Amino acid sequence: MSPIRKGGEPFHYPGKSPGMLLIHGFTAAPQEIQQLGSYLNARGNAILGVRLFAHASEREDILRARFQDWIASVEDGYHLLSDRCSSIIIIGLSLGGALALHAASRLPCSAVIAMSTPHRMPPNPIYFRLRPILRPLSALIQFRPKKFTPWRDMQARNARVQYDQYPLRSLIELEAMLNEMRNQLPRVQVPTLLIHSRTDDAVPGEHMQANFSLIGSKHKQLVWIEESDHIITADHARQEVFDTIGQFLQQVSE
Amino acid sequence: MITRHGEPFFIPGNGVGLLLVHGFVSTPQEMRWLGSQLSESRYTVLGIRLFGHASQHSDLYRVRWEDWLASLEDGYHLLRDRCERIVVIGHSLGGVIALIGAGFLNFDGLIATSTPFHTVPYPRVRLLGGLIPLLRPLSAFIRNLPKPPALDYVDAHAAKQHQTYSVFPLRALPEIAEMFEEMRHILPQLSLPTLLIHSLKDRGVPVSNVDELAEHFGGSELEILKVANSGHVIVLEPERERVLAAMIAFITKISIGRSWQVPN
Repeated sequence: MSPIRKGGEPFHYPGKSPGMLLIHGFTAAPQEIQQLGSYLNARGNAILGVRLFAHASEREDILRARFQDWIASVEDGYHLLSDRCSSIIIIGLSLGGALALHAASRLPCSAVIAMSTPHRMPPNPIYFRLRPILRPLSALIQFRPKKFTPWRDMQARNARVQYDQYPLRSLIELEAMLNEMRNQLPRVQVPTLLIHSRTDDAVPGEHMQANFSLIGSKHKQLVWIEESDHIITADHARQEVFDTIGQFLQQVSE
Repeated sequence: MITRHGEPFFIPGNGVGLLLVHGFVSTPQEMRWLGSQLSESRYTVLGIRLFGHASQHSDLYRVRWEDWLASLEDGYHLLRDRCERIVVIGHSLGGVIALIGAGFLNFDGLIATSTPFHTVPYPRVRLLGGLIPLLRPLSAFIRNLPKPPALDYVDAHAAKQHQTYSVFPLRALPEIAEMFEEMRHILPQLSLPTLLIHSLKDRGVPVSNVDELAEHFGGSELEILKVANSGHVIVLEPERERVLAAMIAFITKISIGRSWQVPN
């Protein structure tokens, strides 16, 4: 009966301001950012990890999702957190990073962190060839299997909560969200940290550099991680990622 | 994007969490007065936003009723990380969602106001009752039904303040119909402490609905309060103070009866 999968539950830890709003990625679940949430909560901050609409429930649900629903999920979390924290820091992974940068351009916050975040649709030749007919095609072929991703930490990979296939219709929404994000990047004026793995198999590192150059903020930095695939909050080098975030938060609070 | 004043809300408090669920085509704002009053009794309060609400009515063309249960479950988990006890409070369709949620979430108590038992309680829409199987295909052509401007408010000021969509998206109605079936299926299995509140003057959802809910409810810890001088949106109407007092009395009673030990 429970519509949300185990491991797909949003989380909400008490603590002090600034509150940290955590946003997971496309077809994934709050589980992939939960460890980061615990790490930041141990530093004393209030944490809220949202569940994006139509994620971590039934795979078919996501076919009905529009990118505006995901923006609204982020806004929900933002409002719940800002009701008790005077200052908010927005943190996201992959699509969650795009949503975080987008939110940081529109909502009051004191910093933003985007990890493994695409600048545009990753360079998949099949996607670009099919793009003109993707909408009608997605009515016939709803899902495609995900390709194997070379994680360094296989245990973390196996613990992952996600849809095991890509919903074709939703790729259009993902692309639309990235367009929205790119338009908003010059309006991101708060301190910004971007983190990316050099060995990211899904979203190459150039995407971070492209995002970096468009971000309007004067205070912006980018950090490279080694020894991880795309999901850098869960794969092998996660502790390095958490510590990088910890240092950045220390800087912006000074 | 969420409309201004339609945002969900969170008010920290003690270890008793209250999960507030608004009604169909409405917004969390409907529950805000109640929420802020309840927080004065030190409870932790979370007012959720149901999927497709407080944005644009066309979002409800895509809704499935399970999405609303997922909205409820999200709120449950966000409260559960902070509260040992959770009481769910739903208004109208929010009451239906709360009752179904009580079938799989671990609530310690339930309060439902102006909650319907029958599928299509609004007289204006009832004619469509027999057509429910046709509504799905029909909704591709007729997107919305007109909604009466102010249903049955006693307090004109409350009517003015109440934020809702101005139409009923037709596609959502068969979802509601299915949801009611689920609720009627689950009611006899529920045994948590429950308070039902309804107004005799409710013209949107006639008071006979509360008697039918009571009749099918499985548990023995059931209280019913009927008030006389409010319309359907009882949580904003002149008797809201009385409704609030009844809720606090109910929560106090079950917390004493079960000797809840909750940290402040």
